[in-house]
Amino acid sequence: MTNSKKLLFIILGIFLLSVLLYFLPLNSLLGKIPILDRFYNNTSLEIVTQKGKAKVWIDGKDYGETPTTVQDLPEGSYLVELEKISDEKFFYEKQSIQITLTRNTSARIDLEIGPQNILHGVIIYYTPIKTSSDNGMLTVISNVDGAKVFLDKEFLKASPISNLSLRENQYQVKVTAEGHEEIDVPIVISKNYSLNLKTYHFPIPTTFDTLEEENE
Amino acid sequence: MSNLRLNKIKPQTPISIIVHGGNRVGYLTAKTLIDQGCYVVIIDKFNSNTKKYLSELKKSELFDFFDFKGFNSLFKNIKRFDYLFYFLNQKLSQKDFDSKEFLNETKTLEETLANTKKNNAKFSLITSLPLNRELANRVNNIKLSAPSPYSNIELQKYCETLAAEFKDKSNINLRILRVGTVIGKGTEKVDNEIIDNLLKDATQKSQITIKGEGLDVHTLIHEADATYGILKLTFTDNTKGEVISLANKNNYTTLSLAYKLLELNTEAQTIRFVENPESQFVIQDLYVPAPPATKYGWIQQVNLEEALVEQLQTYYDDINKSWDIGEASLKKKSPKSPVRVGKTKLGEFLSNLFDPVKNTFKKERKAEFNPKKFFTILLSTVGLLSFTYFVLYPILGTIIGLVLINNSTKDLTTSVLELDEAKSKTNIENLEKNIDRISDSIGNIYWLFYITNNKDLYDNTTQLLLGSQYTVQGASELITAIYPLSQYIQDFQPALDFQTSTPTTTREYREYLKEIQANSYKLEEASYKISLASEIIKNLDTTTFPKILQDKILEVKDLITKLEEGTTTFKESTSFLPDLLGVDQRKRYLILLQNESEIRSTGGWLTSYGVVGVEGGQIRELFVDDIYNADGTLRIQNKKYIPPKSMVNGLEITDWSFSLVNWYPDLLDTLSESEPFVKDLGKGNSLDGLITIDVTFIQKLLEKWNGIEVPGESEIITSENMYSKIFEMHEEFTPGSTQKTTFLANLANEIVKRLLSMNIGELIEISDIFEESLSEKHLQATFKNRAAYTFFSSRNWANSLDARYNNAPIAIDWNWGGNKANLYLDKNYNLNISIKDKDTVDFAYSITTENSSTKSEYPEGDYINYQRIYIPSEAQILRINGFVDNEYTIYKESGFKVVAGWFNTPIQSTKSLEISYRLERGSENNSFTLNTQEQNMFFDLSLFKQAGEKKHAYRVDLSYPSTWNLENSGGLNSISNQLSGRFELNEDLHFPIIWRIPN
Repeated sequence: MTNSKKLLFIILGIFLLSVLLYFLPLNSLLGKIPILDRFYNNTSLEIVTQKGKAKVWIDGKDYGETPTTVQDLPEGSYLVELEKISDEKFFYEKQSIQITLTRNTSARIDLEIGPQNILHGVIIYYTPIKTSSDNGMLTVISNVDGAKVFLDKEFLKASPISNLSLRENQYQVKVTAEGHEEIDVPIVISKNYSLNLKTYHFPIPTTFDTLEEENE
Repeated sequence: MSNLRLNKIKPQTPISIIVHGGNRVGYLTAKTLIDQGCYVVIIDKFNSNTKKYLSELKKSELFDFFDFKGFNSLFKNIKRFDYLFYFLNQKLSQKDFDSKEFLNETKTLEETLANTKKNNAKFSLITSLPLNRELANRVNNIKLSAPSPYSNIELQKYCETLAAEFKDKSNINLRILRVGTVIGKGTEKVDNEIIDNLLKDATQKSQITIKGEGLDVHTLIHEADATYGILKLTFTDNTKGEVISLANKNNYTTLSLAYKLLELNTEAQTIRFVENPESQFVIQDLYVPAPPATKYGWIQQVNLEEALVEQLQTYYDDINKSWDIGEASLKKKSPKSPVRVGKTKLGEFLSNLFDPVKNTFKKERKAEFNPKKFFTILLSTVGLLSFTYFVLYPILGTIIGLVLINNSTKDLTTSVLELDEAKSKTNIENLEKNIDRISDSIGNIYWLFYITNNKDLYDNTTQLLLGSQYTVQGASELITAIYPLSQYIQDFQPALDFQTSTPTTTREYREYLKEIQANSYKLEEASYKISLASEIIKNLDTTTFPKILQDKILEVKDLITKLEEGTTTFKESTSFLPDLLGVDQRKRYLILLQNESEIRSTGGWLTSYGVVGVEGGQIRELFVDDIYNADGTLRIQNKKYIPPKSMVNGLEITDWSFSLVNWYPDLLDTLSESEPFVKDLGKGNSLDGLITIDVTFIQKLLEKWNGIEVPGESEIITSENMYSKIFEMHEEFTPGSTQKTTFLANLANEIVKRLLSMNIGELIEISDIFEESLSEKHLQATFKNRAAYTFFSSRNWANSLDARYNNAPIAIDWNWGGNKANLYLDKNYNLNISIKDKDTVDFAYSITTENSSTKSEYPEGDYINYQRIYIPSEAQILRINGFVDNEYTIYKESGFKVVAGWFNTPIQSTKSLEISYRLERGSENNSFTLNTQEQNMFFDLSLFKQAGEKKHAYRVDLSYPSTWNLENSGGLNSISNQLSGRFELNEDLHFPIIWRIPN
């Protein structure tokens, strides 16, 4: 074969390889190779419910009761369903929570399930990010619109906050919302990951003052 | 059996359900699927006919059986399934049914279709080709009688139509397979009387008897061919939505079959023709079958002769008789494999391409090992691979990705507007994959950003991609969640209109509403993802991108903001929408039409009212009338209503009428006060909500549509002539007259008709009118449903005076002059706020009103206004000036302190009203307007706009202690320790102001 033909095949080859690399689901394939798969399917999910236990299903599969820690799940998005164990059958509704698990990370669902479909607590999980800096990132979102977010007692801004660049460290996050109970939670920021914090707040019961109609 | 077992199936194992599968072809289909590793569930009756097949299949771990009694429980418990085979042809072997049996079968099919749709599975309805032929012949030949209403022909016709309509409506992956008469060794009795008799005669008698001329046509298929065909046609994608004939290529007459049997050396040796008393006078077979299965790649494997031999053997076995088939009569054929091995076009191309390379390597192997050459090749290979991985792949990948994304986005727009959920999902999946791939490609080229010192561009690009990933993930959930509501909007046909009281349809939409409720968690996730995406994309530094892309990035920012707002609105609304639309019980709403040119507390003078009852998503009650007719009716009934104390004191009236029901500014109060009036009018014992619209809202719609034709009106009603039309009718109004009511009912009817006939795209186009009207309070709504109330109230769409208004005053006008003076007013509001310290705030508020009316003649005239100023209940009043004769009252109402009195403005004059008050932190810190948290002070200034007021100038000046450091001015201008703002008060405004305070 002539050199020009060889060159043509090499050029064609690297073009084909480039296209192949684009379409090849490399991570998914590596996650299926024995031995290597343990590096890909090593997430853990801790599920805790305050003031009572709840039944747990992940993608329809029964995982017993809270508290529980599920390990070695492949990374991906999961539907976690929680049903509070209670004598009052229709008092508490089944809760469906979508959560994304990333390899080499752990996630936590720490909630109190209240009546009338209300929740109090946090969902914490990491997602990978690409950035040129050595910082990690923080994303906070509250179920109460405009909730105030404090980081180590400093007011940041109203929720939602997304991808706030922070140095690798442990921090204390407080989220307050008018008329609702506050959330105070420690978090760890890691390089190349965004920590996603979802907060839910119970409303504070209203007390009514009777105003007498009077003329001044 | 076991749901438990079903739910333990591995995710990668396909699951097939076979309805009416207890027959020979069903058994062969199930067996083939099980052999291929598929999990099979058969649903059928357990009886002596089905027992032998089911007992055989039950030996497999991958098989389960459900009786029809467990039909519902199966679909309730099964998490997923992939294929559904519905062997209706088995049921059709029975000629007639009773009505109950007929309905049960159609119901079973309907439920099966619905569950197939839910599981996104493939569906094959297997029916009978001979029955279809018979139906066609009956239709084409008027001499033949029509089939009885509950015959097998009618059942097949009904089920095929049902399946086809369901496919059209829901776009499920469905095909209808009409199978010929099945023969083969497993078929103990052929399901065709004529052929069965032929076979019996051939095996048991010396003569084959043919009734008539034997020219009737039969379509046959061997059981193995039928099984292979059903599976092949189900798995093939291009059969979706098709009706296919699955039978041997040739049709056979009874006569030709008889001759074929004689050739096979059977018991019978001759043919005898007898007269057919049931002759149906079919002169010519006009039947045109559906496209044949061969068109979709199915190939007949067993010829007629082989099939008949097998069938004859079975009939001989049945009567325990041996049969010596002559060697000559059966031509032996080498088995032909149904599998053909070939190359695709791409395969051929690659094969041709790499042939020389293969040869090259062959030659290389023969060469001797040369270390220098080896390392050169190795280094070159590593270099080339690195170049590919770090340069070419990222660049090429990004280009390919962008092209694919562009195409998918276009397709997605179309599929979303066409409400094609499956196609939308596919497009979104493609988008997600390609964004992920581009993200990986960009990661590989980071070095380039690094060496060119463009790290900011890299960070912003990765953020843009992350935002896009979140958007697409959110959109994926959103599509599923939004689908039932879109379907509801598209399918909705009102049962009543404003002109007729007879329902035109009984259709309800409860299923859609329940599906909306069930999808709420998906919406939650969609909203979360889109919210994150919005935050990320909004924070992008556009200037870091190349100039050519900057405009696009700005467009994306705008688009994502709108998407976020829309998703949040939709998410919140789904929590109450099903209840509001009467998913569980009927809901009744009061609609009030207000005329804002004569202002009243909730927006304007009440001119007409309507009551709408909704149940199961359908309008069940609809009534509209002039409000003065309602007053007249109640007066005749001698009904008396006691007005609120503040109204008695202010307006000096003793009787309260329905037309004055909107005394309280909070719409929720008007709702509860309206209930006794509506009850006494016989329009319902309670109300679940109140909706107000004013003339401006209707004008905005008419302006968008360039007017609308209203029955009974000679000219097109436009935004310009509508006001004068109502004015004119009001002037001519006499109690009992229906001119205005008829006009308004007809107008409302035309507007509703127009709205309902709009597609999703057109509705999106006018959504800004609704949003603007809600913000400006030309359209308002409040509901007893807590979630709905919160939704509307939090957006300032319910005119609610709630705890947010704990600082600035709220001015409420009540035009009591009987004219439309509000059209001629100009107002200026001034609010001076002085924050003395963290415990004390002073407010100085003034209103200046100028009346430009030139004469005291309707609609112009003096502005006779009963003015109420709502301030926080704990406020200490410092000064009041400007009320007529300086007379005013102060009382507490609705949680506020109210300063009320007459503040009139005669024609061609200007008047001012001033009020000052102080707020001080009490022992209970909670309700005070300044809120301290950690090192910060928060002050949420909320300004209330009275519904119906025009845009008037508003000025705010705020001063605060100089030691406080401003962190957020809330949109006000900041100079030194002062904040100020000048604007037109067109809607409720909120200014969240934050300071950092010294320890």
